[in-house]
Amino acid sequence: MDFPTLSIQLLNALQYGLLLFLVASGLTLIFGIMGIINIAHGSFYMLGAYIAWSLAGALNGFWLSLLLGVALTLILGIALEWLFIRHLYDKNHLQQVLMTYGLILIFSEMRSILWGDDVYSLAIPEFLEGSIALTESLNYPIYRIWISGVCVLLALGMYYLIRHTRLGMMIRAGESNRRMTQALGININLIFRFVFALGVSLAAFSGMISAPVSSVFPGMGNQILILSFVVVVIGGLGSIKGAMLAALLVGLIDTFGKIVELRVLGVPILPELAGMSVFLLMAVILIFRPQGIFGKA
Amino acid sequence: MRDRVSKVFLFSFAVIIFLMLPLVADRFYVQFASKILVMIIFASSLNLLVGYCGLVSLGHAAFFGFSGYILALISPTEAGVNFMLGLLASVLGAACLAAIIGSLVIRTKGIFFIMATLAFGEMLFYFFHDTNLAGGSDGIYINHRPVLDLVSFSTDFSNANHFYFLALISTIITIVFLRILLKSPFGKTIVGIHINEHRMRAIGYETYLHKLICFVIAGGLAGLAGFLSAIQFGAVNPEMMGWHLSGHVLMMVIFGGLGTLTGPALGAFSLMVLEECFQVTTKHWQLMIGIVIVVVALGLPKGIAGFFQRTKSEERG
Amino acid sequence: MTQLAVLRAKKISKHFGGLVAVSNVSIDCPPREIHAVIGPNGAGKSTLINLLSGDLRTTAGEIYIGEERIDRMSVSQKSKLGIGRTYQRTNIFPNLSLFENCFLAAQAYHGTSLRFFKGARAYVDVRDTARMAIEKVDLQSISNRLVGTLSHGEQRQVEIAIALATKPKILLLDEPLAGMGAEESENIINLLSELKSEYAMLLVEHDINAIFALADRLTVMVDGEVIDCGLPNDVRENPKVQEAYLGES
Repeated sequence: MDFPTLSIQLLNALQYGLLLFLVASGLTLIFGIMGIINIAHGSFYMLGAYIAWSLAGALNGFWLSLLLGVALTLILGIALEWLFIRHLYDKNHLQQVLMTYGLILIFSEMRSILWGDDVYSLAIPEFLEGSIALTESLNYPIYRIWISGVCVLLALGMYYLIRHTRLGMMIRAGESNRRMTQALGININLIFRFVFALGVSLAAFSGMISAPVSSVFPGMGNQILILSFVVVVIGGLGSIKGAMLAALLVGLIDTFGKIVELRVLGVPILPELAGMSVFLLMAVILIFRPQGIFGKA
Repeated sequence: MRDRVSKVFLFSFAVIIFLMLPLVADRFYVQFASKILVMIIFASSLNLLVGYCGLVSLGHAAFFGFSGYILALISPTEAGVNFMLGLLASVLGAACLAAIIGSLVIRTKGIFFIMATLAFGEMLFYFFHDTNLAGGSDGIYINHRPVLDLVSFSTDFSNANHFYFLALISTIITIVFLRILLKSPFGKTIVGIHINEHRMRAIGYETYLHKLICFVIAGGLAGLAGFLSAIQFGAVNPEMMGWHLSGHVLMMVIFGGLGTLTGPALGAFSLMVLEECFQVTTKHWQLMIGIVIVVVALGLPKGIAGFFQRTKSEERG
Repeated sequence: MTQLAVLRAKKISKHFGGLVAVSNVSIDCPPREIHAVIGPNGAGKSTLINLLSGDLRTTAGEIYIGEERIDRMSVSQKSKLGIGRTYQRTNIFPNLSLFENCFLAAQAYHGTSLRFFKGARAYVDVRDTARMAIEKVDLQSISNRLVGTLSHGEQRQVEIAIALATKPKILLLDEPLAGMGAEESENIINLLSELKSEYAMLLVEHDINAIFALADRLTVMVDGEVIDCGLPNDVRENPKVQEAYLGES
């Protein structure tokens, strides 16, 4: 592999990893703080992409449709928490899985009813079109760089929110001791509702910004959900730091798994088995650190 | 004692009804009933893990599908494989896979376990989906089904009634086997682990080993179901290992009632009949199923069997 | 004396990060004796029991049962070698009957848990062991009740019965009287003094009257360290002990 390809693929891996982080961080936040396993998380990513597609057709402004999309999904998150999720706090994992699996089916059919089962493509907004020349022979699409930038900003924002704000403090307190926090007069239910909505709209936002790159298709939620699970398992449940590291690792392995050629004893391993590579990484992590890299034992 | 008599009576009654079915119903219903029976075996195997041992797996379809693939791959192109050979290879193959995956995932707990099983299931899915080993994403046909030679009788189960009886016998054997297993010291042990694993360790149990064995047995039984399913449809594809099927069968188990022998049967039966009804009425039948599942999650945490048990115990006072 | 001890800990320590919970503690449990450990809250008594039982790993030091060194072993291995324990917070199988609770423990002792076909109830020796444990705590009359429905006092007895059903050489008792009324306490105290003829025991308890009624030797811990060890009456006279612990209460 020559240097230009390598750099381009590195940038791709970075962008993919960062995007994955956005989705997985919502999953890990919802688990870490609320104790909920939400297997419908991928559906929000899918919904985000479809919403972006609809809004782009209806509105004439990229920022406006992003903003409206985020607002819509925040409201959706709040409504879902109020309707369904809040009944799950005192239930076991099995019931959480059961209900959120039901939600997957509902969302998937709603998508089919509202948008059909076709694949759509979404244009890159004009001002982010084109490429920049990294070197003389090396161009890279601006839009992908923009995605990476936005993800980094959001990651920093999330870090700030959790570490340095009063809200973040309450969130961390709720994580360590739900009943105590409640006794101190903090409205934990409201915080949970906010955290869930935040998770939903993080996933949806990722779907919105990735739609122009990945196109909009029915199965996109499943794919990202499974990878987010892998990220969370590798990084450690409830750990944002772990999610970041794991997402970047998964991004790297997934991207390079698809382009590197590897043969062992004449048997082609890569790229044929690229789809499996991230799961192998997870298996290795599980052997040596069953609680994930940053998980508490 | 009276309870036991009525249980035996009910069980025999159900068996007789099932035995009579091919005499009275037409082919479609016989095939549909066969499908239900296969799913009952599959759901029962998952119930052993989830309901009795407390291990919530979202990757159980991996063993179901893997076993089907083994059958497809060992079936020669020109004739069917020997039935017993196919059965042994499929079930043992699934059990071996369960031993490998289990030895890793059992190191994790709770939600981690759910995610890890799901991820390993997907790994298998991608393995068969992305490689040309067995037809890639389309899967492969089993051109000749396994052949069973009894003394003066030979079948390859392409006759719907023959397959139906195979599925029925397998289901009965599975349920009886599980009943014996759960009454055995091992069965008591896994239930103890489900209730209080920490204390089980403190009184001297190697819980990892017991959980692993349970995982392997469940994997083997899922393999039996996968083997049967592959025979019925004469084809296998990666979807057989997909997490949607894992989720689906988990729904059956929860729907019917966890930790009861009748639960998975009730769940598989009712969910499949329900699906069939919805499919006839609307294109978006999954929406209806989704709503049913959400309602069950909200209102019937112990499933249908649990609901009946509750009313029964209320009657007793 | 040391030669005869059933359980022996030599200079064991436990650090949690920077915090030293147990430091250089040596303790002997001879057969047919109750060795009590007292100390103010946070003295490391429960940590000590958890180290001896294997629920926690020692940072340093050695633990022996008979001649065998066991401090690197898992809880279940230690249990098989004869360490039975009870927990400060009741730790039982709530949705099983008392008999089933003890049956599980007895089954672990008899090592039959990997039999798959014969019904569990057909193992007569396991049943006998379970029944023996129930008789020892004198709860035969309620052996078929679900233990989750029993009173707190009864559950504390179940806790002991489970430990007995593993046929231990030594019992580690973590505050067996916690949360009990006077009458229930009396029951347990009588039970423990009866059990003394058969088992070595290590008793962590706050109830001073119970300690002096039961203990054959007494160890006082403060801030993770042993400040005195000896016959109860001698220890009681030690001014350091009085200042650190007895004086307080």
